[in-house]
Amino acid sequence: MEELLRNAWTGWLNYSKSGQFGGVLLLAMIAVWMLRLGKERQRDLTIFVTIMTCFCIFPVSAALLMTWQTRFYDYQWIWTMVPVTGMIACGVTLLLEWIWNGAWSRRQKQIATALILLALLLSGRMSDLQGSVRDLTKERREIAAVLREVHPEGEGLITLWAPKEVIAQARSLDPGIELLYGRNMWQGHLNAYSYDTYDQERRDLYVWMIMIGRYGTLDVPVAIDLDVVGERLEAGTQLNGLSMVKKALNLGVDKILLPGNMSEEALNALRSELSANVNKVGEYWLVTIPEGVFWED
Amino acid sequence: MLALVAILLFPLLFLLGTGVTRILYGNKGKGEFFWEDRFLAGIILLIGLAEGAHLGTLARGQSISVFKNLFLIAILAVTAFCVAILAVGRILQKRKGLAGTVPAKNAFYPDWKGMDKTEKVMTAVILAVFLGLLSRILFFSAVYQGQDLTLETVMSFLHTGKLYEVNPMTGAFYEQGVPSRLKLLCLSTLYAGICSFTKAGAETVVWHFVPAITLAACYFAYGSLARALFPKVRKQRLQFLLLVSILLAVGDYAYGMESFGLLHVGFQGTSIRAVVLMPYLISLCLRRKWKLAVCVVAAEACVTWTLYGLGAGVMVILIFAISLGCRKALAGRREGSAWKNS
Repeated sequence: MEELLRNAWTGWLNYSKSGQFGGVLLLAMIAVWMLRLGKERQRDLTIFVTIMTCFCIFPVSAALLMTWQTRFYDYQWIWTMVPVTGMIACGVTLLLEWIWNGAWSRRQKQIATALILLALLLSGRMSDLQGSVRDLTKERREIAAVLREVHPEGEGLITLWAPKEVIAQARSLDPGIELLYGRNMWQGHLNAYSYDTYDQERRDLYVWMIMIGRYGTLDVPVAIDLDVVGERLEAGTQLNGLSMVKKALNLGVDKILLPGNMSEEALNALRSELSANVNKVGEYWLVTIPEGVFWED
Repeated sequence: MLALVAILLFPLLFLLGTGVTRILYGNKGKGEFFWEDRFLAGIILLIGLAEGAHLGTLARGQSISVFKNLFLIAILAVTAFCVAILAVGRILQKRKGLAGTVPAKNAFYPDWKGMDKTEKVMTAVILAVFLGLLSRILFFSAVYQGQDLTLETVMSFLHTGKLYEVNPMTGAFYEQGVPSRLKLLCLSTLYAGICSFTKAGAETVVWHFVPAITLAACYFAYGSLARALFPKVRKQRLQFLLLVSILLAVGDYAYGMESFGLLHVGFQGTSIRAVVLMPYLISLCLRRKWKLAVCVVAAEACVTWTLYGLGAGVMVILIFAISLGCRKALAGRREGSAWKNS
């Protein structure tokens, strides 16, 4: 319960910090209440939104609403019950009506209207154009081209182990590719969609794949700043590359994509120790083990 | 094929929605429901049919082709039923000589000729923003993948031909399985069914087609809310819709915001709930259309994870009932003041 209350409190702080619609909603409601704007239905909406907003802001009631909506959803989803857009639009419509019916000069009315519209425009995305969701088209096109070479059409199911950005798109581009782990290795929320979890071995493999992307060598230390769901290895622990690759092959991996920055020394070690075929595919190195080759674990 | 479905979808939804309102409210509600209501009631019925077909599929071997067949049969049967109901209603109306109770002309479509210059400008801006948002959804893939696996789920369904057989994240068979409350939700199956029926790619359907329908439904929902809030003044309705359009266009700054759901994850159940079902539910509550409000609550339970069917919609109706009580109390106390009902 304590955690739920803490989440409810920090949730409101985050909600109001991440953008201005929370503040604009409060302003719209204050304007409607103070100026006594609106008639029957508009007043119904205002009273409803006022009650719901109070429920969403105060930690105890917010925690109750969070329980009601099930713990599957985070704090921000309780705001679904508050028609934020509808109330702001209704409040501003009533405010504009009040302004235009008031005893102000035409110029003053125009300026007031323009200022209100400008404030609305700046309250959302316009004040932070950098933070928008990026278009995935180009990135997906590039990864799709790589995957077409890794898994040509007509080839049966394969199990692939690859860097994070390829893993993130692989299953939504080619369902004929199986993965050692998916996006839920680093995006914890996705684990709510299934009871399955990953073992430590797969988490280590994920960490190793990230680290070789940074160092370009087979043997790498574990960094402290890793986004991994569940227990992780202690920072500084050395991971042995050949042992990691053998672990992956034992887990049924057919093909491995390594980051393009791998050193020639590392690639040669794979060739000599595992008799691996190493080819360049796009920005990555594709590693395959010929059939009939065995190695000691 | 997908384009054909898109073209046929709108008249079908209007037909189904008209049938729903006629069944729930009979002829007396005829003048109180507008084109927004018909479209949205059609969507709610479609969600209900998809859920029925999905549950039938789960019970009968979980094959996508079973879902497709069940869903098509259900749509055809319900469409025939709606046509029959409307035809019978029309015949009875003619016999009773009640043909004159059809709603006013402008109840069905915007009356462009009757608008003044300001209203025309506002309508044009609303349309322009709508088209801008629509093209953004159709031609860009600015999708937030952070907390979503719908596309992977749909592709897994299509690849295996069965529901919930493999883990969409890895493609391996489930070891522990999926929470059953999640399994009951119908959207992923519906999207896979659409892909299977139209032969369109999953990405096209999930990331572009469905969010475009959600956007249209969102405008209908806010149109309905505008009509509920400002039933008599068209200028205020347009002003309200214009402001909504602006807020939707600029409000996608954080996950969980209505606009973010609409523009970046318009295929998720939570987004459909936030931008379609909730505004429409509030419009229905304002108009005291409780029967249709219950249908919205049921639709919500089909698309989002709820507390055993009791979702945000139930809470909204409860709090709305409380707020109505508050308003009556306030109106009573302030009788004679400016707060008195006009």
